Formats: sequence, C-alpha cells, structure tokens
Amino acid sequence: MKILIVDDSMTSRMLFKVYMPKDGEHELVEAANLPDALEKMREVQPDLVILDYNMPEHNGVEMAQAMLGEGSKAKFVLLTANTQRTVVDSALAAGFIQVLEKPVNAAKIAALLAQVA
Amino acid sequence: MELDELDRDALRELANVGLSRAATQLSELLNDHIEMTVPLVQVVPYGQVTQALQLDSHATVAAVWQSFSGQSEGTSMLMFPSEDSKRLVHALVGPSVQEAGEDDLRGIEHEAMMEIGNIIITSGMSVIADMLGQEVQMSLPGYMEGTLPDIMAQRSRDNAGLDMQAIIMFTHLKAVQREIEGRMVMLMSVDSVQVLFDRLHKLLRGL
Repeated sequence: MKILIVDDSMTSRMLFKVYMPKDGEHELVEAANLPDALEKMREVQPDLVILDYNMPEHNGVEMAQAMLGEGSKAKFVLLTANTQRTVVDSALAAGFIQVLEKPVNAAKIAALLAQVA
Repeated sequence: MELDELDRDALRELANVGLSRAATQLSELLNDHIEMTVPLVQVVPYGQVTQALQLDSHATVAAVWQSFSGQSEGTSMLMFPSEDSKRLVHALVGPSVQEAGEDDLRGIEHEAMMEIGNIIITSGMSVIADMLGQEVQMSLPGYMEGTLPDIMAQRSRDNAGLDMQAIIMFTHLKAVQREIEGRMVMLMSVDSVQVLFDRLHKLLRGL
C-alpha cells in the first residue's frame, strides 16, 4: 500500500515512520505542505493519505478537498489531537474515513492499516 | 541552551499535540468550537520569560499552575489576560456568578479558574507524556492574579536555587462566540529540559 503522510512537523512524520510495520508491504511518502502534497500525490498516486489537521496556511480538511479536486482516489485519514466534535464532523463530511488521534503508536497504526487494507 | 532544527520541530510538535488536546477539552467545557493557531515555541532563560511572553507588564493576568514530576520535573502554567479569564468563567458558571454576592464572586472565579486550568493543563501534559512514553504526576493547581512580573517573582521564590529554563508554548485560542487568548508555559530546570530532549532523540531513532 502506498501511503502519503502530510504534516508540517518533521517530528510527526518521523514518529509515524518509526511506528509503521516493517513488513515491506507499505511504502511511505512524506509531504510538508499543500504544493508538496499535490506534487507527491501526482507522482505516487497514494492509496491512503494521512493528513495532519493543524498546519499553517491550510488545515488537513482543506488539503483533502484540494486533493480530491484534482481527482485523488485515495482514502483520507485525519491525524490530530484536536478531536473537537466540529473538527471530526468537518472531516467526516469532507470524506475522511477516520480520525487517527495523536500521539500515534505502533498499535494505532497497525489497526488503521488493517482496517484500510 | 543550543537547539538544532530537529529539536525545535520536536518541541513544536509536542506543543501542537498538547495544546490541541487542551483546545479539545476547552471546547467540551464551553460547548463551543475553539480555533487555535499553530503553536509558537521558545526556550528561554527563566529571567527572560516576562519579555518573551509579550504581555503588557502592567496588565493583570490570571494564572493557574501545576507542578509536575516524573522523569522530567517542573511547573506548567496557563495564563489568560484577566478580562479573558472572566469571560471564560462566566461562560462556564454564568448562572452561579449572576446569583452570587460581591464577596462570593472572587471565590467563585478563583475556584472556576483553577478547575478550568486543571483540566486544560492536565490534559495537555498527559498527552505530551503519552507521546514521550513517560509517566507524569501532577500536583494540585494553584491560582494567582496579578501582573506577569508579580507572578513570575512568586514562581521564582518557589524555584529558588535552580537553574531554570522556560519552554514557552504559545497559541491563540479563539472560541466562536468569545475571543480568548491563552498562553501555556512550562518551567523546567536545565537538567530536566535535557532529559526531555534525550527522550525525544531516542524516540525519533526508534529506540
């Protein structure tokens, strides 16, 4: 499965990578902002896009809408510690399949990947 | 203390996770949507906190603090300009405030601010501890209203003799119907800040 993670924090992206299963079945591509994300999306055609919510300039929901507008067929997951009802509702309304609560760990990521597979 | 770009990024992410959880708790308390800006983070010597927080040194600030202990030790403080704290309290316990006499009003406000601070600080600190895979014990909250220099002088007396650094995590929290500006500060000894960075580095190396 090809996974694109979009987070302005290098730390968050690194932690996701650290906790991903090392089974050789998943390819992780990283992006830090919307232009970077759109470019990676065109290059790798990800199956799954993990988007941070609280980022400068565009939040994760806005980025997903931009990617969907460019024809992405990926599944979208929001990655955030901000689980306010309004945030979760806006994500689900935009087509996100799930909200993955920060901080991540190996068990949370394994459960997500099993669900998406 | 010298920080490289990865240290700064890691601190920003800790602040983002901790303050996002705090915003979620505040949203539930007020039954209102809370918008928050991307947090700014600075590590400064204790003596420069007042300047770094960019608050009017004559303005009255409401501060709630809780000491924390575990692998790292220090104090977390949540500060609101006094008028913002009153808006918070009225939003939470409005009917009680309206019915209270003048003598009881300050007591109700203090109690409410300690409870609000306790919920926000504890949720923020807990999620940071989870992220680091550490345990944290929190003290009971304390409350003080005064100018920022007064409040920092009080904390300085409590931490006398320690070489303290302050990690300032700053965000604007804005409720849809109420404009509230909050600042969260962690005061830690130099040794404890180093423990925190050591843990972060190990985590990022997958250890």
